Amino acid sequence: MGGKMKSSTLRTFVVGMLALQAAAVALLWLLSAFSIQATAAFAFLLAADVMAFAVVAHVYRTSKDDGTGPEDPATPARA
Amino acid sequence: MADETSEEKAGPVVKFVRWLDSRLGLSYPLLRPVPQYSINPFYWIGALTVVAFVIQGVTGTILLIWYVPDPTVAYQSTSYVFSSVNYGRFLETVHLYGAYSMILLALMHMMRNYFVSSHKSPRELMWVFGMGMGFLTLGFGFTGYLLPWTVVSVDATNVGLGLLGPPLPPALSNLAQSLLGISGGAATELVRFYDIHILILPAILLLLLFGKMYMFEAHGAAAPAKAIPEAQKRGVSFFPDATLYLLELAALFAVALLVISALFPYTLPAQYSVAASQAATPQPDWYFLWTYQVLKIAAFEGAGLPIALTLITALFAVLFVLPFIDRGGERRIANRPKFVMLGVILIAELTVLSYWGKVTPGQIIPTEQAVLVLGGTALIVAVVFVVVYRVMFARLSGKLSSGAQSTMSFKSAQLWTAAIFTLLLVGGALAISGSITGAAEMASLGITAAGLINLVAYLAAVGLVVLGTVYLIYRLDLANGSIKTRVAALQVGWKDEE
Repeated sequence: MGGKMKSSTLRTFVVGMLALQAAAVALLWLLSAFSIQATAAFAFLLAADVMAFAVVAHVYRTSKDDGTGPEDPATPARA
Repeated sequence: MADETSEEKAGPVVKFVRWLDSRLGLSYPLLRPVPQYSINPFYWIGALTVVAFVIQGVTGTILLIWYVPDPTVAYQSTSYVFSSVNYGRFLETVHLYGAYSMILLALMHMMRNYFVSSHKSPRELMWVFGMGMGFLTLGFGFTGYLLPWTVVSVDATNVGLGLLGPPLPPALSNLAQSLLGISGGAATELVRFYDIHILILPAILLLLLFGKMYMFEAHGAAAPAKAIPEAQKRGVSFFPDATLYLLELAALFAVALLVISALFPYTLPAQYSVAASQAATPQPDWYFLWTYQVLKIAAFEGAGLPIALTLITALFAVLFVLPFIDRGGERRIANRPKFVMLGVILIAELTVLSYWGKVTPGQIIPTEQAVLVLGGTALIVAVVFVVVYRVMFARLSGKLSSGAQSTMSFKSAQLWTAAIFTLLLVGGALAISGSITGAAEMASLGITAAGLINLVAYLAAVGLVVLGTVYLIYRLDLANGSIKTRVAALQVGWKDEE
């Protein structure tokens, strides 16, 4: 946790996330848009997608450099 | 040379993103970098409130397609969304819980800033703007509640609007009534509420948000009151790093919202009619339950009503001008026991009043009982607060003397904090929702053993979430290295380092 992820691991992870999202989209077409249960399933799948996005964003942010992003010497941090 | 090679190797997507960046100026330092210590969920509660506002804007705009602001068809147009629009129930549910979360996050943002003294110089006007935005958020709740034209929404709104009558001075009453369209009958009133909800309030809120962001850019996030390592002060670029961090938090918030929406889908209450209204007991939504309960105290009935209204107005007024009252230079929680205790008592009283209001719909509360409950709550909270304060100091001393140190890396700590924060947010929402539902069921269906066990379990869960939150704050405090300062304060008396 927190360290740089190996590129192969990262690739597997991102592919897994994309596969999950593709499966979610495919499933959504099969659901009835009116029943409460189907709506719940839709919400859970959407939540899984959004969670996948959060994880990908986190991995990207913490893997691309030292985890804090480039410093901008010209502009000081606030506070 | 390296850049040229990098440019040649870049794929079409990367090239497109770079082109977009060069045109839109996304990575230009429009917003200044934020300090490393602010990469922490507690610094972004206000931003999450804005995220909730955006979700409300998106879902609300979609709902406008079907909604008709006319009392004769408002209910049918809302009901149509539930029954005949694809994922209509889901959309309505997300809009409702999005509103709840926006109010809850605004409250959390206010209380957090109060406890960590972010309202003090030079951020006094940021607090005033924030209070204005919080007030408008409640306005969103009040005006939006009426729109579906259900029996509970119309009845509760009428109770609220009744307060704009005789208790107020005639000039003020007339102004309020004409602004809200009350004097023009139900049709005018609904259209006015609709206009205020979708146009006026968003416009004013966005103006205040712009002003607050402008001041935020000038002053930045308030630094922790305690000493922080130099590494924690270095700048993190706002784009893409801080923006990505915000997106991560926003995504976690959206996940919580979606899960709750899936677990507790909203069901539209019955349509308003005079007959249905006479059979129902008006009760406001949870965020106004505390005012509802105050107004039900016997002493504030009839001639006492102006006193209650004055007290409630005074509370809001004090909150607005708080930075000009709480002007001491001390910002550490440990050194502001009186103000911290007042804040904790306020939270406890609002919680007790809200819960009490939920379980006693329509009942007038004897004045002696109100004094006993509210006074008792304040007394118990104050005593517990003092004990916890003392114990906390003793515990901190023990930790330092045993040489205990965190072995977790800063990044792992960040991730854990975000995860636990999300868990607490979801758990808290579920527990509060379950408690209110359980209490309401018991109030309407009577007390049963199963219902009682259910309610106690949910209340215990609320307690666990509260304890978890306190513990999280405590651990964050430890991680930020404030122990030495605190123990030094205990041993040799407080000495401000700033």
